Amino acid sequence: MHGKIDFSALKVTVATSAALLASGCGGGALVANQPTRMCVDGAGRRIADANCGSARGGGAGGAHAYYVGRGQRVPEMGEVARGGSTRPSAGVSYSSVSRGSVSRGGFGRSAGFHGGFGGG
Amino acid sequence: MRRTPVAPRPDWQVRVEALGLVWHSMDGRPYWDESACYRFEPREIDEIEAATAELYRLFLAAGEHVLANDLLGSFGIPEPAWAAIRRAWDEEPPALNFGRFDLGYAGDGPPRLFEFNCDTPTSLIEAAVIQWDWKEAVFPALDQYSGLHEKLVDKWRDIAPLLPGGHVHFAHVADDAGEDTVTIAYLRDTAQAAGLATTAIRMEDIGWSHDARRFVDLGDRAIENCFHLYPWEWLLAEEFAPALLESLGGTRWIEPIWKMIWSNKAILPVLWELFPGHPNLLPASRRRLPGGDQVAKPLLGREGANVSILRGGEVVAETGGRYDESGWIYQALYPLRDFGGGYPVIGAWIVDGAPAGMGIREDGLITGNTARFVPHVIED
Repeated sequence: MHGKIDFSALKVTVATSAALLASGCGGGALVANQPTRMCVDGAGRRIADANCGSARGGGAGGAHAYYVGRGQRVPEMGEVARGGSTRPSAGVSYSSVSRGSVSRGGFGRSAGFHGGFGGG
Repeated sequence: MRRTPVAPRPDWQVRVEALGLVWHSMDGRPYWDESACYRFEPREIDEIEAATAELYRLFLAAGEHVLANDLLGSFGIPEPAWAAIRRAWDEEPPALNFGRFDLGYAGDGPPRLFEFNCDTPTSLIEAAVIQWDWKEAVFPALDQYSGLHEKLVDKWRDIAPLLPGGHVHFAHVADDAGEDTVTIAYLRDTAQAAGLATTAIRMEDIGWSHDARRFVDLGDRAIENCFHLYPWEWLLAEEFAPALLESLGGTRWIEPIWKMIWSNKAILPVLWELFPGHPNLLPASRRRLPGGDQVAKPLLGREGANVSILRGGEVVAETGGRYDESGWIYQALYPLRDFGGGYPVIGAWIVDGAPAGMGIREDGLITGNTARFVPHVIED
């Protein structure tokens, strides 16, 4: 009932599904839309941005900033960050570590029962 | 309407994965099942399409009735949200106004409504993309009831001038199967095809700026417009609920909060009360129906959870789940017909309130999250 759809234009869908397959699925396939800075602990696990004291400095307990480029995977909270760097690339502007006045984690709890919404 | 076997494409897994359907199999069994298809006559599609348009008309009337009679409390909707729901219903903030009517249909009587999934409907990419691609490969000369993709792009184009900044955040859960993640990716593609910029964000990454009194993304950029694949009743039950209600003047949430009226199964008894005997409805009540076989469903159930089928007062089938605290409705049992592979349920889509296509899922007597999606064609 519709004409030819150019499914090759589904660039986000294709990139996202490819990233999921490459990661063996398991959720954390958020792809950075811009160079992104996050916070990781001493073991390299992603933690809330508030744990990193400043954009560049270290935080308590070995927390420090971690940088990924556009198109790279952003790990889940608690997951070890891979593929990025603990040092920013020269000349690249990264999305900032959240200010102290920003709270996160206030949504998403209900989904913990079954890991997603799906099938509605 | 009939079901016939079809030889699956030898590389079907690769093909559907390439188009985004990474959750094509579950526990070693196909979820996307192209070993068969349903074949419809054009008059049957016309019947489903007409019923879809008619049901939308009934839902409009039922929504007006709910608000005029102050029924939001009886729907289990928290009182702090009532004013926002009324305002959104009246003002109609930008929305796709899309959803999936689940219908009982076997070609030998009018389609009957089971429920309306209109807050966060899924099985979208299967209906919009995967089954069309399958049809083009396997039955290129036949047609399919599938206009979903174009209508989504058209609707984004329609509401784009109402979305400040021309940018939409797409919020979702990073689910294990990838279904929510890819569904969001597909919806971003439809928005981008309409000229909008998009960003995906996980629900837990949404931030609330206490200085700006705004929701922000991981880059602390204000979230002006937010599509959410996350039910309103969950949003309002979580820590950010007060901030969410405060945000409604500054953030356009798509779909809007008024969808809490239609996505709640308490709407089904309201529909039957307003339109008793309507050929596209099943008798429904907040109390057990006085006689006959019936289905008990939780008000806010999803994926077929916590549903019980009662025959002669005895439970003959039931599913577990965690939705049993929201209250119940009872709906007359529709005699689903087994076409040889399970019981099909028609998922009839609307976009902008207009019929847009359909998908079919097969399962046992209760269609849950283990159902199989089976494609369809239209024969002349």
